Amino acid sequence: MQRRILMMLVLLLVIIMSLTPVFAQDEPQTPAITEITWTCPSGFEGQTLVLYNWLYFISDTAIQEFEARCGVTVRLETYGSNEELIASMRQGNPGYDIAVPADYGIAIMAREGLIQKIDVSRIPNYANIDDLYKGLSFDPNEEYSVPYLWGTFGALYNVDVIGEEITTWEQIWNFPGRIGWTDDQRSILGVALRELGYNPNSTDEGEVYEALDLLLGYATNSNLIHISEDPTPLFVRGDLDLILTYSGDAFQRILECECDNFKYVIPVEGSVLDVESMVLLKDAPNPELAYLFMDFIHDPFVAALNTNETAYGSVNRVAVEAGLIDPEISQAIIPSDDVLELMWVIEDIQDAEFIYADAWDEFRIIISR
Amino acid sequence: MAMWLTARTRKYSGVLLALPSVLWLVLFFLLPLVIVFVFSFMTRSTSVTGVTLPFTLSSYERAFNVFDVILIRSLRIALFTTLICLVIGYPIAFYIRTRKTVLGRNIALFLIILPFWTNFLVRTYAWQVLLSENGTINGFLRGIGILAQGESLQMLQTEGAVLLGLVYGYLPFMVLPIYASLRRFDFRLVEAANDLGARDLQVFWRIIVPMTLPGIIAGSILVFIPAIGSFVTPDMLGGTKTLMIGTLIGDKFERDRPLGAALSMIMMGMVLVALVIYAWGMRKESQNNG
Amino acid sequence: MANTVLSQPKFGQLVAVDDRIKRGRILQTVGRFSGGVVIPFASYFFLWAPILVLVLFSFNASRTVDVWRGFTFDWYLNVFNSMGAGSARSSATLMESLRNSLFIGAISTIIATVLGTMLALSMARSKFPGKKIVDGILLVPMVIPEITQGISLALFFKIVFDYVQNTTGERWLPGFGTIIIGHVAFNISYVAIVVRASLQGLSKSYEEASYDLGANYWHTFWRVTFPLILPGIIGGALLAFTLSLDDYLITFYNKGVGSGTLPIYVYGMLKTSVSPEVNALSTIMLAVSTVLVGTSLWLQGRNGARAD
Repeated sequence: MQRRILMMLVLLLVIIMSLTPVFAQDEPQTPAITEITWTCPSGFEGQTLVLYNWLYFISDTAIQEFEARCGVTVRLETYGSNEELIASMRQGNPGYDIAVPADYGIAIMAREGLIQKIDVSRIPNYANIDDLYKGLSFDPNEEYSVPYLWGTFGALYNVDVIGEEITTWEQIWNFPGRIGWTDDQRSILGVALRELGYNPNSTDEGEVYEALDLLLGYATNSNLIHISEDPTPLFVRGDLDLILTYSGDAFQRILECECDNFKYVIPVEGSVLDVESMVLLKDAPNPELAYLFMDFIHDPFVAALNTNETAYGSVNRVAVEAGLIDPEISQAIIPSDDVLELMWVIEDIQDAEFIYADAWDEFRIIISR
Repeated sequence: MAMWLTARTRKYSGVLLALPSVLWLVLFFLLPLVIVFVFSFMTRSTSVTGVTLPFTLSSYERAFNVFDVILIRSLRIALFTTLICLVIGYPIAFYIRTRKTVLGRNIALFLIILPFWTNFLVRTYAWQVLLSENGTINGFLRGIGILAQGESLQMLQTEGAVLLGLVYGYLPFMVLPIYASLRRFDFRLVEAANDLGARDLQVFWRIIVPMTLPGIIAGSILVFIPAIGSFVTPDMLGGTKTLMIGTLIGDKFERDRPLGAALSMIMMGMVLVALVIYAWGMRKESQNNG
Repeated sequence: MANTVLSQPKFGQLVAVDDRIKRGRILQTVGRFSGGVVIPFASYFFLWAPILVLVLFSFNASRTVDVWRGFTFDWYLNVFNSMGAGSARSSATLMESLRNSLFIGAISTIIATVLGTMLALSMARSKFPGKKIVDGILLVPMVIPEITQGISLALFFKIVFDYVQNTTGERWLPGFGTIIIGHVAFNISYVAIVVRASLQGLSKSYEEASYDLGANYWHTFWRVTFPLILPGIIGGALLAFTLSLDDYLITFYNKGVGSGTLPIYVYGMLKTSVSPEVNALSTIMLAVSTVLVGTSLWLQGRNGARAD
């Protein structure tokens, strides 16, 4: 046995030695990125990383690469909303290392001590992230989160039903087909607040209830028949004609169906911009490997894989500038500069969250009559 | 009678045998319910536990003032589900009981139970596929010309779809207890009644129904309880107009724990009322018979 | 009322009449109550239609379920391939969740069957103070909706685990243990009720005779009672296993890392689109359970026929 291992080692050494000069000669002059350059330090073999993520929110290829390079196992489990993630962490971390909450979720989790501080100096590839996404309102001092992907909140609709492409919120509210909404009170009430000229993160009860009345008007005058955590399957099967959902989920469906009647729109009046970031959970069993994974994710090639497979926007500046993002995807998901200026991020508003919750309860009950 | 097996040893062994189960149920069933009970009187907060002091009745107030529509709807859907299950389940139980051979009876029973060996979620999903606008039923109706091309019936996301899913899901809970009580039923009683000049309907209402009442009651309870607390079925087959209490409790566990706890308590209250009514009905029936 | 209709001598006469001749007429009467064959057959169709759709689409060449695009065995091959190593992530997770389901189902069934049978023996064969209360406790799991049970148990574990951590510094986590505890909790009652029913149908004289002959409690149970109530115990265990396999809510609120069961996996999948592998796996499970349950019923039927 030992002799065989020794022989293999020697063989390996010979191969490596014969290859090394080739690499040295071929060192490219321009930094064109054609592969993952990230290397895994040794010593992690056989370990496990547990990732708690949204469904279909990571590239399978990236995970496999990470597993192969480090000799580790990545276990992926999923949640369906910020609230589900927070609720399960409040129950006590059952053994997850990394989670990927959206914006205001990070602030809540930091405030409640559900996540640990991150030392970004231990993540060399953190430098690859566009400054635009760093130090946002939910983590102003860059202490708790590593930006991961971004998306928008808009409408996925069947263009055959209306016969033309739509561009505004007004057209969305008055869409002539069967409508389904994602059960996201902060985003939807936020849109209504903005329409009334208020802060979409308002903590004023009167303003939120005005927004509620506005939504009630829209809902009763249209065919809103469905509200759930994820209405996309019903849309794909043809039981809904328009759904309010997130950009990546929408584009995954558009790419899957290979049809030309599914369209996604970010209305010109602006909408929610969500930035999902990786966080290190409290009581994470393997923080070392977690750091390694966060660094790996921001290797430009990996970051590009992630965007190209999930259809969510990349926060990795190097990947974007090197042209690694599938042009079809970047064209589709990036709003125009005018619209981008009107987008907003949902903020943690602490106990004012209950104002939204109560208003939303009232909304759901009134439309269920 | 063995003299050593005194009442005392029996008492002793009885307690010993019951103890592990009782402990398990108290520890992992009743105690957790006490926690929910306490939570339902606390104030909501954005803390790790989701609750804080002081004690208040405000969650109950909100549950009855804001969510009354949902409570009534859940109760109505659960009652209808029970009723439909009874109307469909009784003849099925009868059918199974009256197969001539044991094998025939077993096959009939087998065909009822078997679909339930596939996962509940998968079965409900199958209904989604059937009821969808581009689904099997609409496709069939278009195929035979009842619906024009491009036309479809909206069946999903209606209260009818939820009722259908619930009846489908819980029908065996009705059939099996009724069948069990029919199994013990001596059909010569029917014969005797006929000989004495009783008409079929009389036989049915005066002999068969009272004799199978325990099965009917057990079946109704077994259907009513999961139906009123149902979570998966309204989620998968319903829409905005079929919001039920189970979905709400699940949602409030994440966002507003005292309210979720209060809704749980109210739902258990409704179950309890149903049980009391049944128990009362059963006692009255047995008094009539006695 | 029934008692007044039937006076004693009449009943005596009836017993003497040949059963077989009478049976035809009795069946005619009761046949009318069951709506002839229409209602039962419509009901059977109602029960089986979704299953047929499921089976049909497990052979559909298209990944979507709205259209039939020809026949394929691919989904079955995927399921079988994923049992080996080096398979796609999603199929591997599918198989892991199936293994978890079977493991949790088996362990919780064993525990619930042992405890439930003991409880049934106690309820049916002895008297002790507080028996009425035990009777009440026994019913609790059957009258508490699953969602309440799942959430209350999760809150309970949270409090206990926090307490343990504060006092001993040790960190307890939800996982297989918490799921199994929850499943046993709702299964004990079902097992106890089924076993108690078969104990009630069993005359005490067998056991008394055994005691008279000098056997002790232990011997009497294993040599006399146990073989006689075995069908009841098996029935209770099967019921417990089925309920455990089917449970979504209690598992959802009490699972840990890597302990997700098949329903958890399927529910996650329903949020986007159900892969045809799930249809294939369901069909396989249906086929296996058909063979198992069918064989047992056939055997029972044969025994029953012989007993007649």
